[in-house]
Amino acid sequence: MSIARTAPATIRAPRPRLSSVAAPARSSHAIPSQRRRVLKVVGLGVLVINAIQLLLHIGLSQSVYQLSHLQHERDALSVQSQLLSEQVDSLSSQQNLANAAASLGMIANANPVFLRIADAKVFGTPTAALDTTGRVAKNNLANASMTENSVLNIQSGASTSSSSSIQQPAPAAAGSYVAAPIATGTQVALPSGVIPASPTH
Amino acid sequence: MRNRTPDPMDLRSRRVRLIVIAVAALFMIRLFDVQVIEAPAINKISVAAREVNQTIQAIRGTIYDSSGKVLAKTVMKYDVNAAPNRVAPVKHTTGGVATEIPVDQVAAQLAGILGVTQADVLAKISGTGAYVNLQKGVSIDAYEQIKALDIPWIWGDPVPSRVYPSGAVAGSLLGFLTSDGTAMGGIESMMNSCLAGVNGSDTYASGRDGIKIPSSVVTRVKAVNGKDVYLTINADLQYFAQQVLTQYWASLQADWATAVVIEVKTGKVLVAADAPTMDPNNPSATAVADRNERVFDSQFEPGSVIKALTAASLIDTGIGNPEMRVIAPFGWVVPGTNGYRVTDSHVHGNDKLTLTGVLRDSSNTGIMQLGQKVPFQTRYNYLTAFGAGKKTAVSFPGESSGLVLPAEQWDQVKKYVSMFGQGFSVTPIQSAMMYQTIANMGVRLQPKLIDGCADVGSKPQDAPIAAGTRVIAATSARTTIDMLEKVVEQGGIGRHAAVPGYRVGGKTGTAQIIDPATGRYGYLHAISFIGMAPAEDPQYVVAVTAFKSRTQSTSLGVTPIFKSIMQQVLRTFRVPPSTTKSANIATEWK
Repeated sequence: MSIARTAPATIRAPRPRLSSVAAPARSSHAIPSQRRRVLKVVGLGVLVINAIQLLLHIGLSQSVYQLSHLQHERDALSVQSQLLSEQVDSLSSQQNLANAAASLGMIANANPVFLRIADAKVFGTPTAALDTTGRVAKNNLANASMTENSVLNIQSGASTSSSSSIQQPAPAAAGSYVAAPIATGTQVALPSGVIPASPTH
Repeated sequence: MRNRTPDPMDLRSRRVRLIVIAVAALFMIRLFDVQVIEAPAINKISVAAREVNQTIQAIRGTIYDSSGKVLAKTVMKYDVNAAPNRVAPVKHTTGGVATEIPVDQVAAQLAGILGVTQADVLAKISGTGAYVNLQKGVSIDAYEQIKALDIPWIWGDPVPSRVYPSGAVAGSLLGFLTSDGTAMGGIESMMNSCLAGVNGSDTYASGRDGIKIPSSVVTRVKAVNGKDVYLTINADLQYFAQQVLTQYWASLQADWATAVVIEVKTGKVLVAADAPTMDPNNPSATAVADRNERVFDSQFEPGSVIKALTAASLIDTGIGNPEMRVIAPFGWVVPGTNGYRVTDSHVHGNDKLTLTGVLRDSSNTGIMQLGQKVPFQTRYNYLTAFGAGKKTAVSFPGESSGLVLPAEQWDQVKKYVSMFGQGFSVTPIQSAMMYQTIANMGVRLQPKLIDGCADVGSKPQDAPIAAGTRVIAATSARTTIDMLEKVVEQGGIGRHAAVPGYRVGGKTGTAQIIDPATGRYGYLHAISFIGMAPAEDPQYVVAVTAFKSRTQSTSLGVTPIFKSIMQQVLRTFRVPPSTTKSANIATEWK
């Protein structure tokens, strides 16, 4: 009640005279400036987003090419790694080691003799390796996958032209694939300086 | 009113409008057709044009020996192909100078790398087709050389293939893969579920240059590579054993020979050697019958090596002792038969031997007279408890169980000749494991060939040794070993198996072989020697057999093989020489 009664008092202003007003035109001019700003921001935003997307797309395409390039490089490297590990496996095969040892003039003694350090006792009768009966003088086991290109035969000039080994035009290059050649006459030493021992029981 | 004349302008615009509407309708129909009705088919064509489906090959696992040496692995090889319709001289520009290599010369270069003749290559590339295979399974280094030639009409398809870097070392044991990757026998078959992987695939859309379109969806099924297998085999020992075995196999002119090395306390198979052996890199070079692992799949009557088991059953039942006496004649008629006479291998008089002496001289007449004191069923039970007639737990592909008939089917002759190893058959692994039982103080273990199956790069932990079964008491085993030492110390043949510095116990075997054609024993023998060292605390059993030896009909043919291998085994594992003497047991009596 009290509100109804006081309200008219506050707006007691001279009543405006009625006049005809032009109907609001259906044009952008009629949009309030605030709405217009929103539209501007949205438009700009869309533009910026599109631009960023474009840039991202370009960047992405570029990295796809880079990725493909790196994948090729990885493939090339894995080919090389396979080549080398195949060669290592083959060179470390028993057949190859036996052949290499034989080509150096080493002979497996079929009659090993043991020496006990504690009391300097010799077990068995020492026999010259060449005289021993039962000596296996040659490699008896086939190995179709064997690479014969090793440090030892490169050095002695007996590098084979086996098709299964990496053939490089220069022998030096072939050698560098395997290992540095060992100079004749120098002692062959292992990196650790000790001869590896098998587990003792 | 109908006679109102329409405005010509109005009429024309209406016609235009109609045409526009009609055309638009047509377009709408077509659009609907394309977008909705034909859409799936069109999409399919479009995707097919852009989509690339790549198989990602799963790599088969590697097989390692006990020291980590690679015995089998998968590498990439290449099928080298050519497009005959594009064959042309190869143009190269180096340093601004263009050179042209004529087709003939290119063919010669290719032939050189592939190891064929120039004519072969020319014949293959002379057609008009778009594809011809020049060679399958070209090694990676040869393929790299071909790639270096930079021939636009040559390309290679990578194909995973199996390589065995050590060749015939453990070749028959490993088995091999056929060219389409199927495992054929050996470890390759046995462990196929561990070694084989599952192929994956990549599906994506690619541009004209073959590069993936960045925003295209990738469907990726990861390839699961195979796992690695670790064997108990020691490749170096295996090589040594095969070397020696092959040499003697050739000089004995035997059908085949096998050697087995067992680690007594674990049952690990350290060596399973055959002669002849297959090189799995080139299986076709070996006869089909020789590609199998004979250690597991051959069976034959073992002969006198079984006398050790008969003696062990005498001791273990308490019926006999190492010095129990017998008069062993050269020939002896099996009781209860119609004069079935068994003789010893060498002519001799009536020898006064102890049980130990019977083993030393490998007397058939002696072992039958003593062994018959143990009831037949008991002896039979000992024989099967030692593992005769049953496949081992390895269950190797094609493994044989040996042939031991049920006890009720044994006739009187079999009941007696079985005491010296005739009338039933065993495999080399079975007979080796019988001696493992004696060497392991009466506890029989299962042979162990696989250390484990593990993901790439992670060696499996040593699995605990499965508990064995006690076959004879530890004291009986000890006594049996003491008796077997006398065979090596004093035996006419046995002493050739002696290893200087070590106490060795073992037994010879010269078994007759039934000729399947006649059903009777032939004149050729299966000669064996099985022994253990060091006898004071046996660590290793070595079992050697040569089947149908022609130049030597007694175990003398295989004792040098046993000696060489045992020596190498003791050296490899650094077993210190024996410091004690063998037990004092009488072999003869007066």
